[in-house]
Amino acid sequence: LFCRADPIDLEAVLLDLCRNAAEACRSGGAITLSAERAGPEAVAAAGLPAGDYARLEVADTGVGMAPDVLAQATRAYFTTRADRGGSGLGLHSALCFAQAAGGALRIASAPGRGTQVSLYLPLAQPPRGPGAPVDAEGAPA
Amino acid sequence: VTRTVLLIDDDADLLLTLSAAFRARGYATLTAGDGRAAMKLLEPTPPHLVVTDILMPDQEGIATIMALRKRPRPPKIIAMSGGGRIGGSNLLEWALNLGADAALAKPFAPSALVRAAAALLRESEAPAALTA
Repeated sequence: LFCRADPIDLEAVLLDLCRNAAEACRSGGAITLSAERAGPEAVAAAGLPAGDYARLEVADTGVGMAPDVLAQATRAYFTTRADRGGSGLGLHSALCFAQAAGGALRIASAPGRGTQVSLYLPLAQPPRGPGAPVDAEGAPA
Repeated sequence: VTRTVLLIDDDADLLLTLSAAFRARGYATLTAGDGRAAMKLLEPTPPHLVVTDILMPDQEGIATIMALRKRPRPPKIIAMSGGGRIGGSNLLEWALNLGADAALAKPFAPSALVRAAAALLRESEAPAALTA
């Protein structure tokens, strides 16, 4: 699966999602990362125009979110972890990243049943050749 | 030469995210939760770049920027603040007037910070390259 996205930002988003999952599993649980080509039904359910998308999912079996928390989860500066250094920008940044890439972010969660965060990104053509540049910007000289 | 970036923010999650972004691009990173802790990390090897939040519980970013600018060989400085939350844009303007080389309003894409850092560090190396 190939997507067109800044690798720095994609890594940051995945790191944030994994950190959230780990936080949700503080009392135990499992975290699963998966990547697949999204089916047409999932694409439609994500509110995206028909097309080819990758679905990157970070799922945990942790504490889950109550509906009122879930409803605000992507709002900037909303956090349930202010006492532990959370700023409430992680899921908001993930949403901004997904939308800027022409994709979407969807979250399913229920108390006691864990959380699944799905990042939909438009599929792209594979890079041309093994030496194709993927990060010409930002690397130190 | 490995460039060292000192990241200062009371948001532990953001420190981890930004530190990972810089490290993945070959930079070395130091992190501090406020300006007072950061001052202890300036020696023995001063960082090439300091990225500091403005509003922090102990020594805040403006005082940190002023202290850094007084050093004999001040590092490049990028200020960042919560744009829109509590007058972030005014704080960033203030930071620029006091000597920050660049400013970013939160939330920003980590790639924007890494690119700004790379540009500033290239700029700081340019005179040496001309005289070499």
